[in-house]
Amino acid sequence: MLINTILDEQTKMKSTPVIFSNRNGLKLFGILEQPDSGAKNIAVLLLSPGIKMRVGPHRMYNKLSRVLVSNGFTVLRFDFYGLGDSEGELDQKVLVDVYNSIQNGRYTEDTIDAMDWVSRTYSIDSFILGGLCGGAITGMLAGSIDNRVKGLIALGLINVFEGGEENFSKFVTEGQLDELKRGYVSKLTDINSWKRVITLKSDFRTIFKILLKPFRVVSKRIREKLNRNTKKKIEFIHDDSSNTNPKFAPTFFSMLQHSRKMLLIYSGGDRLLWEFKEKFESIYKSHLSDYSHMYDLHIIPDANHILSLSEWEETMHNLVREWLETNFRNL
Amino acid sequence: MQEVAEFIQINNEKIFAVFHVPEKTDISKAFVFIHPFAEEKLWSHRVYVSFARELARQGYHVARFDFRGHGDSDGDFIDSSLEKHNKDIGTVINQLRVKFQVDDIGLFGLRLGATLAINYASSNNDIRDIILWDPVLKGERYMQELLRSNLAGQMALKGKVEVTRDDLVKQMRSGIPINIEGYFLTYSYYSELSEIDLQKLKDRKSINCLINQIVRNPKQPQNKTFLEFINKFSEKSELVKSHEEQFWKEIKTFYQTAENLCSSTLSWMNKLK
Repeated sequence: MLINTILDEQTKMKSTPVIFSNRNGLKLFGILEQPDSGAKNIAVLLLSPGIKMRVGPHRMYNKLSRVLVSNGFTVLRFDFYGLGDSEGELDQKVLVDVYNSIQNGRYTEDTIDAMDWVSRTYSIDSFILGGLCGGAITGMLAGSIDNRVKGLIALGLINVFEGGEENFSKFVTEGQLDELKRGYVSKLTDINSWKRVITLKSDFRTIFKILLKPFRVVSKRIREKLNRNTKKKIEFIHDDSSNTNPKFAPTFFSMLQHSRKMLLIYSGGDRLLWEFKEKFESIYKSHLSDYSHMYDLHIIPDANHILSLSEWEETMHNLVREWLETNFRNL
Repeated sequence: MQEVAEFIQINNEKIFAVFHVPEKTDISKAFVFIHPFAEEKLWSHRVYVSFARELARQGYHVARFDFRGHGDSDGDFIDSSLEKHNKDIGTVINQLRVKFQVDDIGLFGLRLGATLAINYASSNNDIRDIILWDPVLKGERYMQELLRSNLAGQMALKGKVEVTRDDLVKQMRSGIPINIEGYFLTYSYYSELSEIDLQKLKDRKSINCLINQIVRNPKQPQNKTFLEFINKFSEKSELVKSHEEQFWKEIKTFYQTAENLCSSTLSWMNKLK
């Protein structure tokens, strides 16, 4: 028997494969999941992380969708153009270029088109956008310009462009350097490590960066003090030699200024946490304090980027549940 | 060309499938695509989609589906078994026959997907053609690769390996599944897959088989084990090499299509017509 919509008797979740067109006429493919009854008048769109389509790594989005549906939300997981089962092709030949194009807003329009389709088809006009990494930044970029968006669930929200291995020492964070320092110290008695130093195979640029850390700490403190003194009007700083996404800070503040609630969940073992803290949060600390009621930031200790252990994933589910209960109970 | 996405009901669970339907065709043949293991499925997904669309353009019906415990199908990975995989393949084949009235059905798979294709074909006499991209012939070796990926995960997380490969096996044997990139592998599934040794397969001269060996260097010689293995099948069977990267992993290149694999596969299919 072939069926379009199917009801899972155990979870009381209805699943429907759906196809809709984006503004360029490309057919996008998705799975719409709804509670059997009593759905809230708000939908969650789970946005593809990188190129891993609508299911996410280790089916993270399917599992998250079940949590959302059991809390009364309608969920659409769909593939952006050129990915998964959707139509279209991407020009990029290198994966990093695809990631960077996503961080630059490649899929903002697809996200808005998906909201249009859900609005037209299911008469739902309020949305929460959610996703991991590239999905999270896409949600933030779309949410900052679309008033139907009421909130963002951002897992591993990325604020930098990918620089590739060749640029590692250039863009490395202080958090990563601390980890590396611990590694180097533990290898001080390892003869092979010294062989790498003598044969010039070690990454000296990174080692020098570790050694120069005390000077950077002092200069950072001075900058922070200056920042505190010049508070209020936000001036978005972008250094061309940095790998920071110039759209990140303006978009983040736009979300806050437009009262879009944000749940930020970072993994403790993920470099994206350090990127966020060092290249965004510490720079705009004084301005962010005005909006602390608008966003919740949680760190899952030791977790990796894709939350591959079930306890990490369960923690994420609990955080999402609590945040939805606090902010969207009455919708 | 039409693409129809649907759920197929099986034992109170659903299997997600996409059917690629050619516009007009005088080819009464269909292929069922069998996906590789866990995250390899996700990394190679777009290559599967592109190849399915190309086959449909050439006039073939194609069915792609997710095993239970994978993708958009029901079930959890932890409950995977070879028996379930075979049932899922059989269910999709039946739907293809019923829905599109195509009786001549072949199987296609990459890596472990190719292994599962042979496994199914070896116990079902109605499969005439199988296309295998870099098949895993020895399950045990592949399981060792998976255990290595767990060790790599430990290294990335803790900077050292705390649970050795032997201990991982012991852990599974004691009833605690192990984590492979977020997928939970049980001892029973691990054992089933480890026991697969396709080199011991009896001759199946009624099956036309293409083995497409993926080489990262075009000068790489033909795999001797593949050469021996291909002799188990009909005279029309062939071993070819295609120069491609390992697109079932995270690599630098963004893979939307595997052009060399597709073109060498299509030329073999054309010879069969």
